[in-house]
Amino acid sequence: MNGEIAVLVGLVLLMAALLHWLPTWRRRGLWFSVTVPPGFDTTAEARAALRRYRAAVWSLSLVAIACVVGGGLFAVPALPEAGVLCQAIGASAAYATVRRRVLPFAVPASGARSAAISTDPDGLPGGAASLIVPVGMLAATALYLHANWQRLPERVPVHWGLDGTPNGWADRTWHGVYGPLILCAVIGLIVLLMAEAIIHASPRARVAGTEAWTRRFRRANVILLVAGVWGVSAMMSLFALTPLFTDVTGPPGLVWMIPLVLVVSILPFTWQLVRVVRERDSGSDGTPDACWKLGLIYYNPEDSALMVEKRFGIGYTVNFGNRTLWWIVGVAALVILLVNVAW
Amino acid sequence: MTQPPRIQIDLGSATPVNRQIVDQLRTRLVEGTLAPGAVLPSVRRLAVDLGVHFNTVADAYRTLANEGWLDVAQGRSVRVVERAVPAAGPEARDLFRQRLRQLVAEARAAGMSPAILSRELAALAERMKS
Repeated sequence: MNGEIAVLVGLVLLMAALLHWLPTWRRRGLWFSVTVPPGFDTTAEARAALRRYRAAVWSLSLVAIACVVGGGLFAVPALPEAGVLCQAIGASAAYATVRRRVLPFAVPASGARSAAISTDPDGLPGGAASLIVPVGMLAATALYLHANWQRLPERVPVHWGLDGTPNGWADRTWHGVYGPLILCAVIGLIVLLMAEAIIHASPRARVAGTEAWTRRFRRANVILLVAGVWGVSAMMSLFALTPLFTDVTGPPGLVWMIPLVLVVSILPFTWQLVRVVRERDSGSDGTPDACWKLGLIYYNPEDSALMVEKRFGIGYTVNFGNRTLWWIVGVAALVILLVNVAW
Repeated sequence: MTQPPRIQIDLGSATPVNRQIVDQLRTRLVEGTLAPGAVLPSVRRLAVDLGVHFNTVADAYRTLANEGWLDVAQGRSVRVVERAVPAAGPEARDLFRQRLRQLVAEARAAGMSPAILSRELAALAERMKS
């Protein structure tokens, strides 16, 4: 129990550190999701806004730690989860509040847009391999499990504690054994579709002079997503094979090391993305400030982009004003509902 | 690596966006920056890049296709085509003169001297000959 509390406190601290730095990892022409003049981030007003936000983040993180420790020690159900939730929601609220203080310093909205008169030669890194490799890993694992079906125990582990001890089980049935692999394949496909959407349905550069940076940023994001899919597929394959190679009812072995596969596969690409974000020639993103609700949610029905760069955090977010998005969400919800009914 | 030509629009301008796209693409087509055979971005790609509605770009491409500059057949990429230059009638010349006078008047009102304007027009004419 104490081990779990320590790990959870560690995660809260890690999240606090991330939230602490996140507002500074942005395009240089933005400050708290507001388009500002060059050099604004060095002004007293900008620094004061950042200090205010960081003070809120660390206060909320202390509350979260108190909830985690208190909930763990006195066995109060849901208190640790409430603490973590408080940190996440509170930080978003703090960001939105501080953004309102930065808004008076915004540069006047400009309608200037720029686009290259060229086709779209980009694709997923590695081409078809980006899809074939993870699906192949999962399919090969499923075939190997099928061939060794009799060697599988009557109950197979599907969830593990932090020390590598199984704490969730499924019967040795078709969906108990293959279900996690199928789920992983579906999630992987969704992530690869998101990568495709970044390539084909997000702006390449709307502000002249930012083309090269935008190209590097898009590429780094797409590579990270593909690496993540590969890493998760490898991790899930190893977990699925665990019952064949270890005594799942015995003492925990080296199962806890399996997630390291994921960490190792994404860490260099995460670092690369952070390095791109910290470059200084990124300018602004060409989306109107007024369409950023609370600085976090992009809603612009006039914009045909399905995905745009996030203004808080690294990566891409969806344009909630895009009608195509709601079709996709509707179809996905219907599929999930049908699968649940059929299962 | 050579940078591809770019198109610039201003959403705040009094000129409609589809007209701005048409004007800029036509200029590049006339100047030869976009030569026959060149492939233009798809309607979807250009609309996403500019942050405007698909119909705005589709309308601009249709206008240029009607003028004979583009092939916009459905299911194929948008391509610049060889265009037979029509013979300009007296009405076209009158319209051109009228527009040129308006443009020159605007430039004079903005403070440009006749000498500068004359040099600019001469340079433009020279470029068009080549």
